[in-house]
Amino acid sequence: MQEDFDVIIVGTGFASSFFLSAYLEKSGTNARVLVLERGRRDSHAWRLQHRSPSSIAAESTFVNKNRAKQWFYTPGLGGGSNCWWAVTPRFMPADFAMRSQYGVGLDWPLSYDDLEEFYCRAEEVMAVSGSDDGTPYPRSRPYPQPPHRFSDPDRLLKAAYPELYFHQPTARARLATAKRPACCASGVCHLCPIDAKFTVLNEMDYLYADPRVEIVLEATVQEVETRGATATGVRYMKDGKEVSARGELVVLGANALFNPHILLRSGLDHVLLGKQLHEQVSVRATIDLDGVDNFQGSTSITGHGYMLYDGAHRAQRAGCLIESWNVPSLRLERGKWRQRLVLKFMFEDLPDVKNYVRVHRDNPALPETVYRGHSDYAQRGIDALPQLLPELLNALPVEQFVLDERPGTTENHILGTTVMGADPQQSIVDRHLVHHQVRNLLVLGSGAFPTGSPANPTLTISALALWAAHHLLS
Amino acid sequence: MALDRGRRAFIAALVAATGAGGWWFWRNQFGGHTPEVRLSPWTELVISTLRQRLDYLELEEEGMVHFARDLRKRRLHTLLRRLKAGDAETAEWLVQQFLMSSDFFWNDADESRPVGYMGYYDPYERPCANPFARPV
Repeated sequence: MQEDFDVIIVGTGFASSFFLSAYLEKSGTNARVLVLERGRRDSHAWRLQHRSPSSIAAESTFVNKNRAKQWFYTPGLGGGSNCWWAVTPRFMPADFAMRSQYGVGLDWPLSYDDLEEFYCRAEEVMAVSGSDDGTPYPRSRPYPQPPHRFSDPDRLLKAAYPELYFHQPTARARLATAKRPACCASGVCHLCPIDAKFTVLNEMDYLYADPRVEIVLEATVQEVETRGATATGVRYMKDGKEVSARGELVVLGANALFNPHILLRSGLDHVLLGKQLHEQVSVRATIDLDGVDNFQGSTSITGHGYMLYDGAHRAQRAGCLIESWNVPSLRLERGKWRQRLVLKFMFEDLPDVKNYVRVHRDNPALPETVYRGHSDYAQRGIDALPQLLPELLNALPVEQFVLDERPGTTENHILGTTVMGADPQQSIVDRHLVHHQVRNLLVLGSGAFPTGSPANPTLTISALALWAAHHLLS
Repeated sequence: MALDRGRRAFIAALVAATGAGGWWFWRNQFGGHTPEVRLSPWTELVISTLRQRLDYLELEEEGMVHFARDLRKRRLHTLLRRLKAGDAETAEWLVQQFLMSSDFFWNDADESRPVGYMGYYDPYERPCANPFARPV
């Protein structure tokens, strides 16, 4: 027997959970919501016991033949919140207007100002810690929590770059909340030993206990069912059986691998569907300091440098967000143990159609990633670093530094593949994340990002979900 | 009486021979240590690496033995192979891991104090044990 729902939501990560929170807030007591999650409910205790973010291996859920490039996500209730490092910068205003400001990439069909209110709301839910003593982007409200403690190298960088160096905004609790203790800088944030970082399970689990919500775990959505230009429901697999559910509204909140996969299998073809898979590209520098100890900060990553982020250089090469790491990395020299600083440089990438997600030929139930490499634009950013770094480090008493220019294999972000835009010929969803052809179908998440920004995407994913819900329900 | 003396002498000789044999076996097997504190080649390697790299610190042997055993419990076979092969990065990792597991940094890196082992540094076994982090 088929059941009818007001809304069917696919996935339980940031996008889905923030959308659901706004939906339930605005809905009456009779609302009926079906939530389909491919993973299980792996409690924090279970994850600690097994030292694993999920009881399901993410690699088993998609095909990736390019072993040099990893795409990381966590199947399970709460999705990526179970493995993120809780880094919550906003995007800069220019990130939404790369084409008009710098002549590269695309403009977003919405501006920073459009999202500002929703950034604030998402920060409230996550109890984000940050400094109001100057921020790189305009804010209408103070951060919900005060900033974490800087390390001593952070203080020197702040003194040298007062307008460009800040406390890292983070959902690693600076103060205990009702559900979480304060962070104590254990340095293994992908699975916090004391559950101090925000996760869907520790702060938003109430959503999935709401009597209006029916949640089905281990349910893998196959396709969105449509009639003409209307979504009528979804078809999913549960316990080896195919199940259909009818809904007035369908919301895809899986990640940027699975949202396009579902749409491709639904026959909603588009020349750009699944295309422009990308994420940031990062390199690291290890800096030996003369007489300055490090690691006094109160959390794993303490500083954010915007010295190479925004500016005219973005017309030529990628912008970069700098992270200052406070996880102890000892310098094994007598008396100089703590005189070391590790900086991570996260460069934006420009989306390219050569990188994409498709339906796997032999097993259509799985998406397959095809990745041929990051852009020349990102590489030019990396290539400029050896020249820029010495001057940048003038703020510190540097003995020597080593820059490892080999990019990491993943940033744990998955961007692009269901891009948003005003033109239905050039995009999959509109500015409110509504599918251009099927108007009762929303496609949430970082797949909608027209450009990636150097900044971590999660806060923007969450704010966009609130923005989409606000538009839909008001 | 003569028989008794002979029996006593025989028993004494037997006891002496058994004792000497036992001593010989113990000495050859355990090198003079009791079985409980016998150092395996693995432990010897860990201790010698730590002593070599931290020769200016007074490292408590019992703590290093405990550290080596805690490492072994974690079945770090690759680590052992690399350490045996003289890999410098692995040796550095070992030294860092030992120092983070010790009271050295809790004592403000005071080189005049003996360095004791506090327990294997693993945030999942001992959360909030980062010796440097300062809460706000």
